[in-house]
Amino acid sequence: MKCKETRKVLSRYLDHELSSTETSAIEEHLAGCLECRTELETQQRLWTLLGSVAPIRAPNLVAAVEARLSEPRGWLSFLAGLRLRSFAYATATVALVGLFVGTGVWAGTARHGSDAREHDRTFAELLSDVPPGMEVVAVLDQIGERP
Amino acid sequence: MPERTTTAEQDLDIIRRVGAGDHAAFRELVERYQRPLYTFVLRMVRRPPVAEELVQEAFVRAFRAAPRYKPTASVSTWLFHIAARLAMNEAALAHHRREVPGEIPDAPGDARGPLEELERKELSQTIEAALAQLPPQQRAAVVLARFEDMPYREIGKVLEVSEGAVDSLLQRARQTLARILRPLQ
Repeated sequence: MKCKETRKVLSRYLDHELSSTETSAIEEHLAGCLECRTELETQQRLWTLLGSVAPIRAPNLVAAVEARLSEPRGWLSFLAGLRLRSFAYATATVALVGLFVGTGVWAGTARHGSDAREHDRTFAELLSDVPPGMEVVAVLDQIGERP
Repeated sequence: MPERTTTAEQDLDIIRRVGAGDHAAFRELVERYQRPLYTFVLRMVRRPPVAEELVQEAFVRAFRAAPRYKPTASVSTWLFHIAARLAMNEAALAHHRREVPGEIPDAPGDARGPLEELERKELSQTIEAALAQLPPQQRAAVVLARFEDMPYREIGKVLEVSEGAVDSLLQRARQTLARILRPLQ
């Protein structure tokens, strides 16, 4: 085995991923090659250094996972998965829009109703002033509503 | 992490019971694997609340997929695969959002004095920061190989790549880490 081939499989050698034949071949080369041995030692030091990292404190997730299992699925879980704050904002927006639209419709209807009643009252007053026997067309001319 | 060779059959028995809807078996599965999955996912996303959320989600997905589990991979590899997909997506999104990696809180060590404890913490944080500089797939390969002692074949299944690709990921990761951590070697 040559240096180039050895360097190519050095990583696998360190991770015990080579067959016994490959391992024997690389060890034979390493025994006679200082450069490859130095490279091997550098990689071994790096792997050892990584191992000196402190252990991580892991939380106990059993209760949280079990709680999640009881959550609704499908479209219900989609709804449940919505962030509460976003949901509150969306609800508030819909309520406000509804309020504005509703108020506008109510105000429009109220004004329209009020105008109609005023119109009817004026028309009735005019009719009361019409002399008996006057034609309808003439009445309409008088109040400016002839078609 | 439980030793795979001796626990594989126990895992298989547990996952079959989980597949039948046995909640006690599921609890046992979570207790067995929450620590290795959490440390793996935390090293990928570097935010404890996000890691907790993703590991919980991984277990919930495992519970729901358990009836369809086929022993083509070990239960351990299967769980890491589910967690890795979630973690890699999150890591890629964080990378896209250009988020600054957070610090990983470590458990109290067995240092003899405050100075030694400080040195231990600094060394640990330097190594974790070096790992964080690796692209997500290389980082995952290193964490699984170095901290979980996972063979290349299993790493390949977890990351959905070939053994050759795992070798390549690890070689590139080793080169980068050697360069970053040279002052410490």
